[in-house]
Amino acid sequence: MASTGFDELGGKVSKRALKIYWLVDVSGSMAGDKIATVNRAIRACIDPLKDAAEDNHEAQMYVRAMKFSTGAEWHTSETEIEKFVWYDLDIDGWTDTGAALRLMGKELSNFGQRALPPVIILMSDGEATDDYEGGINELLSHRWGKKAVRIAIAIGDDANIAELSKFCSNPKEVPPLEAHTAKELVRYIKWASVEVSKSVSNSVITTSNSNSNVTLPPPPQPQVTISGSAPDSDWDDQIF
Amino acid sequence: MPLAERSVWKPFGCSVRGASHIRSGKKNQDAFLGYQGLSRVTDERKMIPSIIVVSDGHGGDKYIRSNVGSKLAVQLIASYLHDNTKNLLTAKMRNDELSDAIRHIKTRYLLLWQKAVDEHANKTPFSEEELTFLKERYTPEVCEAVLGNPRVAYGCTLLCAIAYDDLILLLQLGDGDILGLYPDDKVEDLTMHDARNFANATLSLCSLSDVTDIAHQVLIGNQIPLMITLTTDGVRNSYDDKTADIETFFKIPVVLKTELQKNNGDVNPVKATMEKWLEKVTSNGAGDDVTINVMFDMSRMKVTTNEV
Repeated sequence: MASTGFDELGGKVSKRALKIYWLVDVSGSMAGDKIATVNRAIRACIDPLKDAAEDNHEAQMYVRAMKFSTGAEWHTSETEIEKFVWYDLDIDGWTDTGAALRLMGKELSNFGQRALPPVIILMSDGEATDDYEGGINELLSHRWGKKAVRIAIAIGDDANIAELSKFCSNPKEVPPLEAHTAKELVRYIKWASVEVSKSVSNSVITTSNSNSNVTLPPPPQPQVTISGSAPDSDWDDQIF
Repeated sequence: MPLAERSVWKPFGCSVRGASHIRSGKKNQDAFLGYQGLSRVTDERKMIPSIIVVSDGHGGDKYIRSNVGSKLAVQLIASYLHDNTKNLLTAKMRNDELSDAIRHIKTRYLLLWQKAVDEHANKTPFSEEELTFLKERYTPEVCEAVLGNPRVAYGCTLLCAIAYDDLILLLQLGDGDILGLYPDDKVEDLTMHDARNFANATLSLCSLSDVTDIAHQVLIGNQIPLMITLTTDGVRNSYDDKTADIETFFKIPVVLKTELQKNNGDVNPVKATMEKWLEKVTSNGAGDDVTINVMFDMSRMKVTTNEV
């Protein structure tokens, strides 16, 4: 068959981008089991995310991690999940969550119109030591900041839940997920990364006043710890 | 001189089921329709406008009958404009007359769509299979919202171009794109962008309460292009708008013109090649249903055409 003008159009056809961001608190208080569990949990997410990406023929999944303590910086570059390698995080410094949100906002300002709503997972065990309100306002001033799926994971007993609630895209239905054990933290990170990302590309909706355009799957319920019961996974059920 | 003759505007289009819909077993939820009207107004015979229309049924699982909603959307606007020759639009109308007439079209059309959807829902209650499908995917609150307002299940968008003798009326509700081709292969984006159509959300016939949300644009004189294309968002979403790849999307009308001229205005081979190309677009791109509906001015494009 003779070539047609359509064949000569040029321009690459490509899948829409589905981006997942992990914003991890690496302040001094995350020392020990907390940061070790975050590292292990993110590592444990990679294969399930690759599987999810393989099943999702309509979107190209990218992941990127940011660390924040005294200031905030990207820990990894934006990488296709198929090529993603996790490098463990170390701890140091304060909890400049506001700086992290500002940096996230800057990232979202580069998004194009056709992207899928990004998934942003904020993990922290404390409260911000900088201008948190300013950071939230900056993030939400970007249209993609408003429409992102924003999930917060509170690590341990000292996390500021009220503060993290302000970050959540739907705090009534999915308030900050409170992880008091390593096992819970792993489950929450996996759910927020894997299950939520699956929902994003299947969520064409009619306009509403809702902040998020994504119908989220129900989050995992907190585990009831029975005294004396044995851990049922490879993870130590360390209480933070 | 004949009382009426075929309009210079010739329509053609095609739609391809999305790669993702093939994999998930969903139907093609896009619908399109076009007809060539009659021109030359006389006292004996009113003109009939030419029209192309596209509707994109929402792909979310909640919109379980969006393929029906989109079919009704295109059929009803086309039949309404075909039959309603009493209030034809013309560039000779005063602005307020034109605004009133357009508002009337929108209001009447919305009522027709709502009535048709309500009748369909009454005659064909949700099946056990549909109810199970919803319940497996949504919370009881969401299911209740759909069952309490069945129009939601029929959610779809609307893109429409109507060619009267001396003006073109464009209507848009929700996402999708409208391009116009002008002399010297200049392509204009005639899409009526609405900030609410963003991040997988779109305005929809199913939730419309205010007809002013149906955007419109009137083209007269040299604003009238040689060709108009209506495309569902699956086409544009297959090109990265952060790279030069998106420029390809805006070349579509130029390629169509070249193909039509190469084929002496015969739309059938052009449709065939367009369909093959759209299959590649959805397979390698956004995976959504993809539809292009085209209307071109035969006299200004300098092509002779076979009758459809």
